[in-house]
Amino acid sequence: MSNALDDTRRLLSLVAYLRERPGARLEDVARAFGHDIDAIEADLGTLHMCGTSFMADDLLEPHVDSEGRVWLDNADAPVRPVRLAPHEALSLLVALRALAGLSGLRDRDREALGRVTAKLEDAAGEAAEVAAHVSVEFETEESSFATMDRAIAERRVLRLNYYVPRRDQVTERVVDPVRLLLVEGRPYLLAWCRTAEDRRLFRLDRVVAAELLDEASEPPTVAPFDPAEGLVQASPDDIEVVLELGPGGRWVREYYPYDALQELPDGGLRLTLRTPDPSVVRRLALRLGEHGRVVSPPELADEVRGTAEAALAAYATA
Amino acid sequence: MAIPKQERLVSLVMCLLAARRYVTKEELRSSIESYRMCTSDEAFDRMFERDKDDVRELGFAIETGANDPLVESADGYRIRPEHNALPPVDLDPEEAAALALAAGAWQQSSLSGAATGALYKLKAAGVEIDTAPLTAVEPRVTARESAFGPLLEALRTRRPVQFTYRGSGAAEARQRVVEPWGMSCWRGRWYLVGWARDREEQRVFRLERVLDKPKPKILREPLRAPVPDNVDIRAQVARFAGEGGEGTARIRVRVGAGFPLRARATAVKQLDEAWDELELPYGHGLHNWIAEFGPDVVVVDPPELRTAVVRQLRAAAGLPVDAANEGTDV
Repeated sequence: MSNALDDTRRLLSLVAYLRERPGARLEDVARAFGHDIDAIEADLGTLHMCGTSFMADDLLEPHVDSEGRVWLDNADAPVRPVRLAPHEALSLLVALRALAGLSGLRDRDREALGRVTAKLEDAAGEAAEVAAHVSVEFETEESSFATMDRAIAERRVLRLNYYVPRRDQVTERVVDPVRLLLVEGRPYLLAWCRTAEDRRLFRLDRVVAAELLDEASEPPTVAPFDPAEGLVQASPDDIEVVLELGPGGRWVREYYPYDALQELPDGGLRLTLRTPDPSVVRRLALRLGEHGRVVSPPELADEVRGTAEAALAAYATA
Repeated sequence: MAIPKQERLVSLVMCLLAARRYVTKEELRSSIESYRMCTSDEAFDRMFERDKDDVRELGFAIETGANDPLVESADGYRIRPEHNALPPVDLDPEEAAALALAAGAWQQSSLSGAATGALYKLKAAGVEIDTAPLTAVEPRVTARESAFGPLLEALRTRRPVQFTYRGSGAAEARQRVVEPWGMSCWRGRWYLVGWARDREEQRVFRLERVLDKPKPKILREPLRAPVPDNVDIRAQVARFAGEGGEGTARIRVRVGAGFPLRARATAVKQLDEAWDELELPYGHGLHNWIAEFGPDVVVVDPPELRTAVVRQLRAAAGLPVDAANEGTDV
């Protein structure tokens, strides 16, 4: 997914890069820009078309020689490495500060983050200003984060006591850790779960205990996690649930992926969603109270009523 | 065939950088092919204005002025290379790895182009950035909210912004004018902190609740309220989201159940084989959370929390929850 502005960023930096390194090898250029050689050659073709013939100095005329080295024929082309734009400085500085704030990070890593933040602030100058007013917060569970970071670095197996909300129970499992992910501000461990024999994401605030075992981890090659696919995978076995929400329950749409949404005249919503596990919806309905109810399936609506009645009984006898 | 926009932008930048004097709009129009192909003055003006915005977003300062001191209208443009150069940046391998990690955080967001662009500039300046990982952490920050771009721009330019907002639980959306002070992403959601002109106080807004239409509009006027030196965005947002407790609650939790409540508890004691008693911070929204656990959790104290949970459960059970029932235990 590229757009014209992003292409322009790359093209201008490519000119600056080539100007600093006359005769750079095509494959080195490609590696520096994270592209394949064909894409860089296409960029060089585009640069050939640029310029105005009006200033003479602004024609670039790049060419690749028979040894695969790239030259800019107009050595006077004025593009030098350009200062950072506010959004560019912001993206790096905000992420660096957020990472440095992770508790449980190794000191060495935190120091490197701090040093590069300071250097970048200096280099960015006033472009760094807006970054001071923008922040990203990552929550960490300090002790388990550090244990897992170490387990991954040392390639060791972990034993987890892990809370499963739908059963409201703590389970024990042995996992081969792969990566620590920070998604939606929360840390997750991506691991191969030996108990489930599958790739699993473990939310760190649900890890009751993590123990480093003296066993080498050998996770099978698992597909990299793609956050775009969401934390919850849809399955054809999911059951369809219809909820009716009052205005006070509108927040549900922000937290639960849904299939259909209908505005209701009272300012409420009718949401249709699918879930692999009806108990998730039962808990949601109890949390909503008067701000929402399960319309279908009727068995689930009955279950919510039954659970609420059982809970009320405890207060009657208390 | 239409000439790609990137070709036009690169030509414009190169021309303005190479210029040793101000270049007039007419000179640009006659020397850049895409501009020559514009069929009307209006079409050219629109294209040129957008291009100037894009060139600024790329980090260049475009100067305006006239070459002839006797001419008052500043209708010429140039970019001075010496004012737009990146100062030297020298990074050791660990620092470079830290930078690559930070840039990767925005992969799925509207800032991914900016983050990648920043790395390109640093690489062009000679910074070696390989991908040897710093830690095993892989951060991901999203900015899916369509209001993100306009509100960030308002914050950067220090202008009030007008948008239509539907607060949580509000039956209707309302137009708001806010003087932006800061933005923060907490648990994956973006928030704006600023001065709400209609309420005349500091407020927090959740970007998801800003309506797409009409689009947020940056007002061309200065901020009126004094901007505090230190806005603790994090604390503001946490309070907005109902975090933090003021009192203490005592609850009974069935043995083996309710781990998330236990994780928050300040004290736990075993009552008998079936029940533990927990003390935990009592703040906004605790009753909703407790109700989730159904019969596995019973509130002991304070009475208002008991009442709130009973009310919540009665509603879920389909029983009336009118005012007459408040304050009574079932």
